[in-house]
Amino acid sequence: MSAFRWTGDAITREGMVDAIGCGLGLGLYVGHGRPVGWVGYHGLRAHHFHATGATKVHPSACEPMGAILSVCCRTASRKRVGLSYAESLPLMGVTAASFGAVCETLHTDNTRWAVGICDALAEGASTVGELLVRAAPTSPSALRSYRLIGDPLAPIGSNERSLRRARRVRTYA
Amino acid sequence: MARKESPLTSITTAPADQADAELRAAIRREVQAIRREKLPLVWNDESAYQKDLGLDSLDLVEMVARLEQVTGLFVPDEDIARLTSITATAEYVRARRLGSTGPARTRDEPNP
Repeated sequence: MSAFRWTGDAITREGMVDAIGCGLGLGLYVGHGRPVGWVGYHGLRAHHFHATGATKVHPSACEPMGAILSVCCRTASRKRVGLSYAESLPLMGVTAASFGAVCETLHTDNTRWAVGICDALAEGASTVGELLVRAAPTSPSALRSYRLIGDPLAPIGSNERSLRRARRVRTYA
Repeated sequence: MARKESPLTSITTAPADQADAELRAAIRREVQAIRREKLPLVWNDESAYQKDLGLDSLDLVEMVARLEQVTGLFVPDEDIARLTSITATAEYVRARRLGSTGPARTRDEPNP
């Protein structure tokens, strides 16, 4: 299983938009979140995918990610945004499925999800729905906070072409 | 697809000594999985996670998350401070499994 670690100190916002457009199977964001988007990468919002042309200028060079999991607060909340970041991503064709919280979350619950997701990946989960069912923690508040938007049968595998693109994403590590 | 079964169901069905040994071994594995390079060369089940093993609060949260995955138990955040060593953790899990002590009330549950 190939994995890329793109932390906020090693990649720009534009680089992250490119990375998400590589067609990889799964993206896992851990950090701070708001209804408008991720706080990391100097603030990544849905409109940045249009602004940099990831889904617009060169559509043939971009493929949606299988699923994007935002393990952080409120990216699926509609408070003061109308449409949340987690809802916008599948609607824009950035990803087939999006997982996010509708409220503020506890870091302990987020750790539970992160550990469960990594274990489920290691066990070979092949769709985002299967992944989340396997990863689901026992904490009631962790389950209550999160929603899956989009296709639960979205495959989370990456092909070689996507991996090649991902290796070419510019980073500053 | 059904959620996976807890691999530690034996702690309620196996003889007490065997169940305790399996439980301690499972907890030891999870502690080692968190940050093996942090651990001292010599340590035992009585070693304190933070003072003797050098685990920080984030490591403890990860350890609890792993413990929940392995045992199928929910450990309320208020109970994390009670898990100070492998022995204490094993006793906590055993007590919860046998139902001799209930979990602490979580912040999400209403006051009685």
